[in-house]
Amino acid sequence: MNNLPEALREFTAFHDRLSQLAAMGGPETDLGPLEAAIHESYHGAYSNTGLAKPKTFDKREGYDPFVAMRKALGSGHTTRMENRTIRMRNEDEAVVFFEHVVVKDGQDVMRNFFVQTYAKVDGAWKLTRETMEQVAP
Amino acid sequence: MNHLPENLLAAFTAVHDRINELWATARTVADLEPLEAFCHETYHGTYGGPGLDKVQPFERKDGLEGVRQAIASGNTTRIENRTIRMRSVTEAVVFFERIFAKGDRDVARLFTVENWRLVDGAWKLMRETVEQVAE
Repeated sequence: MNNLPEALREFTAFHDRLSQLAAMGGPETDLGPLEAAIHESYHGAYSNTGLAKPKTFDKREGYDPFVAMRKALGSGHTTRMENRTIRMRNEDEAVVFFEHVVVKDGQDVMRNFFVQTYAKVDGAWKLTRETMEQVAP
Repeated sequence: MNHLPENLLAAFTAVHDRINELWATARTVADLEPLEAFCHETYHGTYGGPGLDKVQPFERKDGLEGVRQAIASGNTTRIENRTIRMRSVTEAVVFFERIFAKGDRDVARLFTVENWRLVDGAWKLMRETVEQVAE
């Protein structure tokens, strides 16, 4: 299952580009490439620090995973990723874990665990599903 | 999130290590009994996998049944790439890859995010999300 070095390299380069865009962006950053990478059937499942079942989001129901990101970019936050792990299901499907850390004035102000699934559709990688687990605050 | 004492992380890590050791050495369903005690009575989770559009919720009995089936089928299990973060003195969040193997061959790999809570002095698994990478 890990015998796809070419596919892994190519997917990793794609995920690096997206992550750099999100990390380095400012209020004027064009988030078009990020938005284009969301599959039309995107589903998100977000858990906060409580014990309830995750809240689920559906792009077709009008959920926009970038509302929070646009707000963050406009408010002087930066972000970084830690401990990323990428596994290819096959040449056209990838599963990714990372910690997403939000930084304000040199302080880590938020940390979330993400698990994402991507599929290649007509030659382009698309985010199909993600689960987010809020660690802190 | 960075002001918690280091020994707190070390103490939780030791508990998680013990549980993984139990898993890794389990050969029969009876060996799983001590593990089941770590799953809180309200433990629940979600499962995602190849071909699934949305994650599927599961309850305690479903989660435990999956573990029993894996061990009963003769598979062994180990974890890789663990990351542990303490939310507070009584809460921990853990990521790892769980691999099931048949002999020397890896037969399944799952990304797991777990939520743990200290309940009456004992760490309990409260909630988890699982994403199956491959059969």
